Amino acid sequence: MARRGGEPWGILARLMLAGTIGGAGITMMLDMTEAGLAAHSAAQGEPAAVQALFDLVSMVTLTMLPQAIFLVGAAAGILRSAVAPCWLGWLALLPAAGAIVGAAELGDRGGPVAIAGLVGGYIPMLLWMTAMSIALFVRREDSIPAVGEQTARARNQLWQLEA
Amino acid sequence: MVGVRDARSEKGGGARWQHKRGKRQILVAHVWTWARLTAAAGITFVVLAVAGFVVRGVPPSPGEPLADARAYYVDHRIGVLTFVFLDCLAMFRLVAFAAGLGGSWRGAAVSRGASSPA
Repeated sequence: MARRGGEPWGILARLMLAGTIGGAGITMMLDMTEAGLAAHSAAQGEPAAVQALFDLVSMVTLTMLPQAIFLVGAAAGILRSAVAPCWLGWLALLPAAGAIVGAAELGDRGGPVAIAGLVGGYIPMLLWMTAMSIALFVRREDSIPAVGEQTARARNQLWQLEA
Repeated sequence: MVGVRDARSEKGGGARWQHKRGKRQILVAHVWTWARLTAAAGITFVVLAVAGFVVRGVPPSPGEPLADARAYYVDHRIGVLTFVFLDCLAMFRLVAFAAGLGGSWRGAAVSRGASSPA
């Protein structure tokens, strides 16, 4: 139990953070490529080089796989830790599934799979993050699950007896 | 009587502790504060992501001819560069959101785990 998300920074939290960092890293790399295209290459570059850079930028759908990992990890963590309403945990699985489908866009460029990835993956993720942020923002400190004998809460601080 | 001191001066670490009724307690989490910071990171991620997509316009689809893609990047140069900037900021916010969310599990896990064997 402890190693499946109940433990601080358990495997689920690490999985979620790994998915986020992986997705962010790939996205920023593609962003820099796109910046290079817009800044100089598209106007002055060799056609073959521009085509190669454009093809690389088109791989952006691959970022949906780490996004799905992030969402699945977040869903499992929310369901286990109850830091937010359970329905938000289940809801995170919807954009996760859409993101997995959307990653298949590489085989169907500009087709219905691409639209499914955008409509079913990215936009629902933005909506889920908005809902999750609101849930965290309005969360009251007494909504945290049962405090054990070794812990005590004082306003927003959580204290634990030293072992 | 509750005495609160910063343990940094004694241990060299960043942990805070207090004595309450003769027992030593360690501050393990700022629950509410971190939850709100996490929420702020999530909201700003969404705002930055949406703003980025608005300023860049509709990008060429991967199957379009190279001339069209080239024309798009030349015509929307400022928009694309602004999008890149906003998107990079959004990615940092996303990582902060994930870290904060994982940290909020920590508070919940400490609350639960203390009363049940790990």
